Amino acid sequence: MTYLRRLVYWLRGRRAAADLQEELQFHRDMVERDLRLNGATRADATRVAHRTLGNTMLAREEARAIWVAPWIDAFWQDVRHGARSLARSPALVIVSALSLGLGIGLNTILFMGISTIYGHQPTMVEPERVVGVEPGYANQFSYPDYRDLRSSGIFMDAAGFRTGGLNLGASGRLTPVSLLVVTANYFDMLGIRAQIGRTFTAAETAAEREPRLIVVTAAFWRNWLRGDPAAIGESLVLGGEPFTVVGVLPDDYRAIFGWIGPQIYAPVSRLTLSALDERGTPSLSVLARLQPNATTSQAQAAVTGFTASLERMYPDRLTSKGRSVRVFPAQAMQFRGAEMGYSAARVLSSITGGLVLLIACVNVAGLLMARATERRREIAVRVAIGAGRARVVQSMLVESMLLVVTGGVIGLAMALAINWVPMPSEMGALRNVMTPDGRLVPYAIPFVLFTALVCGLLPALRATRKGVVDHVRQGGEGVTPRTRMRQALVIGQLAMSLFLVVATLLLVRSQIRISQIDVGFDLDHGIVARFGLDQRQYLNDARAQFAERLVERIAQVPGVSLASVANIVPLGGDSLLRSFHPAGRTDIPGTRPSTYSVGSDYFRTLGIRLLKGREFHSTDRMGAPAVAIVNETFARTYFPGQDVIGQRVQTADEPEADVIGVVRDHRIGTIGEAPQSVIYYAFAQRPRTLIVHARAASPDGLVASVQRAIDEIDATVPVNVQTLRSATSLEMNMRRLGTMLIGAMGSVGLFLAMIGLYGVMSYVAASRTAEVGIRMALGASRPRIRREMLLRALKVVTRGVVLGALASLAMTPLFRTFLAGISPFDPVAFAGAAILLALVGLAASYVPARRSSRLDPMRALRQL
Amino acid sequence: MGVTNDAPELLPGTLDLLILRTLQRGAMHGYGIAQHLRVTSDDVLQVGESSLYPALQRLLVNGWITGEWGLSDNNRRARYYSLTAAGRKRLAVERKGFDQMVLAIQRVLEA
Repeated sequence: MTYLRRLVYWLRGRRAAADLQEELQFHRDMVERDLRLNGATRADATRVAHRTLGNTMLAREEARAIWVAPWIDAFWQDVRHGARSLARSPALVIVSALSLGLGIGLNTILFMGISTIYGHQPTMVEPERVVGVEPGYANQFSYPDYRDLRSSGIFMDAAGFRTGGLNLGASGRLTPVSLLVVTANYFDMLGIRAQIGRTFTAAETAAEREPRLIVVTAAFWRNWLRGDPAAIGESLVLGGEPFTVVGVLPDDYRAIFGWIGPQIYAPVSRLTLSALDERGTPSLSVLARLQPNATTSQAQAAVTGFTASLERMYPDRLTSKGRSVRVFPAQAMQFRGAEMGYSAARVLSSITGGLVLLIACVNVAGLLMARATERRREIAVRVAIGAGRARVVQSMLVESMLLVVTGGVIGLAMALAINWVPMPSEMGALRNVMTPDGRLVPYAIPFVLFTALVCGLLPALRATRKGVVDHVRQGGEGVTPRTRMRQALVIGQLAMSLFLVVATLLLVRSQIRISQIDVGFDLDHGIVARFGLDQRQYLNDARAQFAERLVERIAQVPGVSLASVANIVPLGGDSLLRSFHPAGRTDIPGTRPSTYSVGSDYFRTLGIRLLKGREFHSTDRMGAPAVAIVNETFARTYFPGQDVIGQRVQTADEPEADVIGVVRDHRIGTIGEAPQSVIYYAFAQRPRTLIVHARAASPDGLVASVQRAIDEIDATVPVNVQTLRSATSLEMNMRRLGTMLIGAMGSVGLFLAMIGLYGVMSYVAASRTAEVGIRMALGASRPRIRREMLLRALKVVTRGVVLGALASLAMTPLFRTFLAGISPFDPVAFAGAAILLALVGLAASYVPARRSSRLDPMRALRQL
Repeated sequence: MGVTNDAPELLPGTLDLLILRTLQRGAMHGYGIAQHLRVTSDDVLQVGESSLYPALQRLLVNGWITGEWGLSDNNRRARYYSLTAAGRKRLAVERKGFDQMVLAIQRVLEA
């Protein structure tokens, strides 16, 4: 109740004060009246009146202290004072708020993303009792091994799953969907229930019975089954087989495999898991629930014994490559196989984000320190009249808190704005899951608090340290060790910025060169058709024949001059690497050749020159002698000085083949790549991923016709037809994205360095006002003062540029692959960056220099 | 920053007790309370505004007294304070506490 009343008094503030004032007046009048009644003299009355006045003021103060907690009062006072004071330096506010906003926003976003990925909790009952199990011989168990593990009694229950993809659809264009194949007890073991319908029961989905049931996620149900509750019992065709939908998972269900979850769950059977009966083929990732009193290490020991006994029973097919059994918490399942990558990414981004924030904080702290130096008289006065150090520090902290909160608001706005930033598709999925909403605020608050402390505490403490009054009287400080440290910091910032700017310029110049580079094949006259065949469509021979029919039909499309197949699109972002050794020779050091499958007339279709021999023909089919074509680098590397035609070559997975032709090198992976050795096999003899290439004089207008031609042969397969130029644009886009990112970072770095320099220069200028005043009084001219300050700044900038240049020379060779045709030491880029930095540095120091030169010498002297 | 007292060596909280006891006799304004204290104690207890009014505010905030504006005997606007039920209870408690304290002090002095 007391608090309520306090609140009321606080709100009624003025009213209560006025009331009290009236009361006190009444009291005073009564005192006076009594004095007069008792015959007091004038003098007495006045004396008493004065004493009463003092009491009156004290009464009001004390009363106020009862109404409102004093600290709130002081706080509010500080806020008003701080706001007024900041309003007088708008430049400081803008610059600080922006750079703080950058740091806070960036960290908030990173934190959000990281916690989305790492905080992902798969839905399950009692998750701490569920573990992932990996046998020693692989990451996954084979199905028969899994069954044995389950009945071994080591765990209360064990379930397996496998990710996959199938094409969905009965008629018309098929669509690929992501699938999780699970054992019958998966949902039961994890305690997952459906929101509509039901999940699998162990009985009906026993693998032997080839069950045709599926459970779908809520998102899939909304997109494909119209969100209709009556969709249970509907039939969907997956991979050519009909399946019945029996249940829909809840909206808040989270998959075991991270925030990218599969859309459909199907039971394990021969339909969905072709290697069902093969004990030697690992196919299932296994989750298990520990026995009530078992520990993870006990389970691990038990499974180790179990796998050892399996190896003894079936010695010929299980080779444990010395890896031990792993039992780990289920939540870590999503990171398996890529742990290093995930950790590295997380650590790297946290460090980067932290660094940016720290740099911004240091900058703002510097600016505030400069400001505190300018106001040191005011601070000294406050301390001298007894404000107490804590009080002054508190008010300066409040001021910096105001700055930081402004920065925080800007940062939050940035984080929210990330919704509108275009991003490549893989990141886009993450972006959708990271819904920036109210949850951002709790993330941002710790950053804001930390920043406020770092930025505000140090300057405040420094400005109010003991003896500051005497210090001021003696005329302030010059360049101290503290300043040197800050100068060193700025030099570091400038060096980093230089590196980033050099990198940007290099990338931009290489972008320009790229359009002039010869990639070795004809980018402008090609059409590409990529097929999304799933694991059940057009296998082996059938695929080769399908390819042949496609090529025949597409070659007949008016405007198309040639057509062929391959398993890649050069520069299309999907090259593969294989191991290799030429028949009989296993000791060749250096680059390992890549292998691809291409069809007849492939090289002519893409405009790649045939140097010797011949291309593949229709006679090079399955059953005919194995043949291969190689490129000139291969011939040079492995058969130098000899005629490679007629030689035999062999890779680790292919039988030997005879070389029948040599082609010119062309770019395959990235534009900037070094020449590599390549072996091309005949697609008919070694069918792989199916991609059809066609050559046409004007490809843009023919995309639709090629699509129609494909539909004539098979209208159901998912296919994507585009011109060769647009198919290779991903590589270009990645470059462009990379350039933009580096450019953005460079700009940010430059901006922060600018602020840092401005801060240091301001500080130096402020602390030397007395000295400047004397010199001006003795006759130094304004331009001269200005020039000196600028020269001083230039010295700092030069040091930064030199340091940065050295660092860049060391680091730019690292990303040579991204620089097509530009030397990593390109002088134009370096010179440009140096000039830019010098200009920026001068601009940043101009304002403090001007301020210094425009001092009124009399005022400056008076500060002595 | 505590409440300072003009009266010599008043135990802390005694002022509250005195005010409550004064108001038990009937509603009064601030000056009246100060007068009553001075007169009844033979000029020993002279309470100034800087102690009286903050104490009154404290009692108000705690809900032991209420204040109402009215007209004084010379037709001036003044605020009259009166005890609440909670205030009565509080008075009894404080009185008991004070008596105990005094007894304890006496015992020590005469030991």
